[in-house]
Amino acid sequence: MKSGDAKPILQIDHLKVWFEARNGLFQKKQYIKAVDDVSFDVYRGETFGLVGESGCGKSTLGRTIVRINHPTAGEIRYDGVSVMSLKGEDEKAFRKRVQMIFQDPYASLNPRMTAGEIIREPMIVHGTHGSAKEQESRVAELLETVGLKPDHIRRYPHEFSGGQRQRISIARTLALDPEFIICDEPISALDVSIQAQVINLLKQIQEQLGISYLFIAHDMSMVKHISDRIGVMYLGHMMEIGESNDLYHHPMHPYTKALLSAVPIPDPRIAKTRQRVLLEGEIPSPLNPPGGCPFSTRCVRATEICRKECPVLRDVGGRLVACHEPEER
Amino acid sequence: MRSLLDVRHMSVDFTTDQGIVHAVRDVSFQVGEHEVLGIVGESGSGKSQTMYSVMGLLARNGHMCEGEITFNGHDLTRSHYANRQDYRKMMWDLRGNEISMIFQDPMTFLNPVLPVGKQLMEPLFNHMKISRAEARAKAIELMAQVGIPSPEKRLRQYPHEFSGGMRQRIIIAIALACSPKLIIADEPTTALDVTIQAQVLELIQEMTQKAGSSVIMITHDLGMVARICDRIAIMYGGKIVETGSDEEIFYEPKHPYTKGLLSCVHNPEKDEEELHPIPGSPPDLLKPPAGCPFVDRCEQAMRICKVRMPGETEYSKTHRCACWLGERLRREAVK
Amino acid sequence: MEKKIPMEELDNSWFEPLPDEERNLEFVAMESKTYLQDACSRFRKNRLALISLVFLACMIFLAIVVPIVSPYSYDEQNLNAVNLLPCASHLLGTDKFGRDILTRLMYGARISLSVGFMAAVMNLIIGVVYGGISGYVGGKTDMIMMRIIDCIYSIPSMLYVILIMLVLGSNMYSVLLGICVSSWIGMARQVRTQIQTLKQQEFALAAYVIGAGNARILFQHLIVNSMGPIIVDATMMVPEAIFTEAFLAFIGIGISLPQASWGTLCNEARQMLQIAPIQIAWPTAAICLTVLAFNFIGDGIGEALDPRKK
Repeated sequence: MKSGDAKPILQIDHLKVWFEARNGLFQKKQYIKAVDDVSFDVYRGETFGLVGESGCGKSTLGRTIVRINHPTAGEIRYDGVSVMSLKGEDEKAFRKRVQMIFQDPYASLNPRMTAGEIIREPMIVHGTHGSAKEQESRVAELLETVGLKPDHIRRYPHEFSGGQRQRISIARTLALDPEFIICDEPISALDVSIQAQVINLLKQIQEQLGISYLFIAHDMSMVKHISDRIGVMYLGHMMEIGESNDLYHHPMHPYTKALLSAVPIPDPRIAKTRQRVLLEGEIPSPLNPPGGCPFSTRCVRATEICRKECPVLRDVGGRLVACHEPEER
Repeated sequence: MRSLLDVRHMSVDFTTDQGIVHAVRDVSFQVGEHEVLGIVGESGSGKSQTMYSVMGLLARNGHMCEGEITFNGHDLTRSHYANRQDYRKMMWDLRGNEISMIFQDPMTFLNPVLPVGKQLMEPLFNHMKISRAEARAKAIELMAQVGIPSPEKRLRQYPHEFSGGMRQRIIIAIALACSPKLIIADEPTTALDVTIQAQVLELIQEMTQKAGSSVIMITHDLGMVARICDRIAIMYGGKIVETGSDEEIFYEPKHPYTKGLLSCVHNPEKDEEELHPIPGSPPDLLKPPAGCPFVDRCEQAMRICKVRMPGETEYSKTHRCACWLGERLRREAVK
Repeated sequence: MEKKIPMEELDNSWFEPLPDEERNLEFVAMESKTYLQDACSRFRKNRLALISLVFLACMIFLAIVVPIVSPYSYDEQNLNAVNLLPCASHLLGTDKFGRDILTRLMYGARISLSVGFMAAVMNLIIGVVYGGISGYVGGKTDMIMMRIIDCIYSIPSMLYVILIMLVLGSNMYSVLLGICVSSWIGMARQVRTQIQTLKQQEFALAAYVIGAGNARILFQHLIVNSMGPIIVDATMMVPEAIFTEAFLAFIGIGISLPQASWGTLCNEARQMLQIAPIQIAWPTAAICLTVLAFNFIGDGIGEALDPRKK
């Protein structure tokens, strides 16, 4: 799934999502720049991983694509059409094609609906898959796809474990045969042994149906495993985009490097001897981001220009990096 | 190595609307001096409740129905005290002084309406006879040690004025205030961001080494365990299924669950490695299986596993595993 | 059984692989219960609420049956039997006009209870719809709707009642209307806050992403999930309305004589306080016990729906 000649299915173009924050009625308006001038493309059949720490804007970005949040500026195009201008039937069609899996399997399922009702809802809303009976059999089919039993259909969400709930959630997103799924940290609330189940399930679905994923997570190791390409975000900015193995082994942005070296490695010999780049300090508040490069306050290589001028994402030997002086490969 | 904490055959039950949950079932383990023990398990494996029980901090609907706990010559078994007040008094003296705990969510542990300085000084006042000025000086020193800039100023600030990572540093400072012999850290980095996690972990390691404390690290994160633990206990379904040194657990795992767990996590250092998830879901401790808790998800399950809990097989001085496969191997060797 | 066999005697067949059909993958141990069944089973464990429920059921039954079965009617005067103490022919005695107190009390129960229930139902409907829309739509609409509420709230509710009485005459419906004009506001505010928090929840967002319409999200997802506290509130509203009605009747506003609500009965008995003090005990007890019963039931429902509240 190399990106070269393929056509992008999702194009994010200089997207800005700012939230108004006012402390008091008469105080000056401030903006939280959750997403600030981010551009990237996702190709058909590809998994694009989006990593970053809390407050970096990755979830806001995902939610903006499905129009939960509204962009302040910029453009989101799905299959060449601007998502923001969709209305009526076009919007319905878009909803069918693009779905989302949420982070918290305990909050993303309506506690008053049975598993069957939850999975069936999208079909009812869009009036697809024929009669009630046909929809029911489709629900049973979907339950099987995600590895649950048909008799789970009448059970309520609280009776399931976290992993089972997340699989119900996946079954719901699959109900309409979407082409594109935004996975908003789908595994971060799950146990280790269950994370692998969900990841493998997502991969298997992709192989069967050719779905594209935007996979949002903070866990670099899982993102690396599932993604074809990875984008690293920090404080609303895209810092680096590259092919996943290449990015992991040869990070060019100092932030990517630090993020990678903080990844815990489940191997005592490596983990106990590895050299680490420990970052100083904390993530600055998005209400009051540093001038220049957002990472300049914590970067060991920061120079005068980094504090003054925000670097733009540029192509350095096939890799997109937003850094004045990227590391050598 | 002298053992500092000795827990024997502990069981903890919780009474709920749905029935009795057997959260911890017949768990025994020891922690030596200057040792870092990792207790690894998924949610609902009973790892946290085991520790709460040691600390006497079980929720109201829970109680330790069996077992004995000894800590550094003190008997911490609640049922051995005829008088509840005696037990409370003894735990009160120990907690924060000889055993401390670092919690997952610093916000629930810190009092939001007290400045952090006061909260830092509290264990000092409780367990040492020192003056206000001395306590203040000590608090400032502690804050500086855990890497909080300008501690004199920040002493007067409230918890909400600190970021998550900073709060966790304060918790660590409070936990280490009286140089305890044992620190129990309950998922201390789960709520933090990756880069902050690395900082906090480094700090815990450095501070406990300096103070010569033993650490029990409760976690689900194998990467973290690999990095700092000397010895590891794997818990599943309220039981410890395998214990061993870090190398034994990671390189020669014996229990199918341990093996499964290791093949579920992706080691990013190796490319294109397939994940092999463990099928199914963890057992519900409302109705724990009669035999091995892992039987339904185990690829190598045998008929015996369903009906009887396996005994422990010893593979080395440190390495023990509760699995029927050990018994089968023994029988095959006899043949 | 198997447990008693010592290890050495366990034969090797036990160490054969476990057949797949004996495995229990994806086992769900919890009994399958709907939310309602679960809540009911918790409610049944609450003895106080259960007793209250039985008491109320009796009260409603008597309110329906007594005026029908009773040999007396509520306004039948008998000047030969004035101010009687409880006796065989008049179980609770008679008042100053010789009317049977039990009949009047149960007739009053009809009025008081129906005022209570109807007020609660009306409040529930208006409050849920108004608060639901206000909370869900948000923004300017919400602002305007909340200001309207503030305006309504700024006028004392007693004034509404008196004005409505003037226009519509004094009967049960004008009392009801008077009570309802302002009392749905609490409900609307409650629903609005509930909806505001729930609409940020991931399941509501999930419904939105699926493409569900606003009405579906609001009613199927949000209101259904905020029903718990709303029902508790509605239950608590019944005694409140009974109280207000009784109070109005007591000070002489409301149902016109010789009809009787518990409030008017109290008022009449008050005039007889020195001659027949026991008369005031009956309506007072009826009001107290009913209000208490509703409160216990409300608490019971609250705990049953949200067990963490205990």
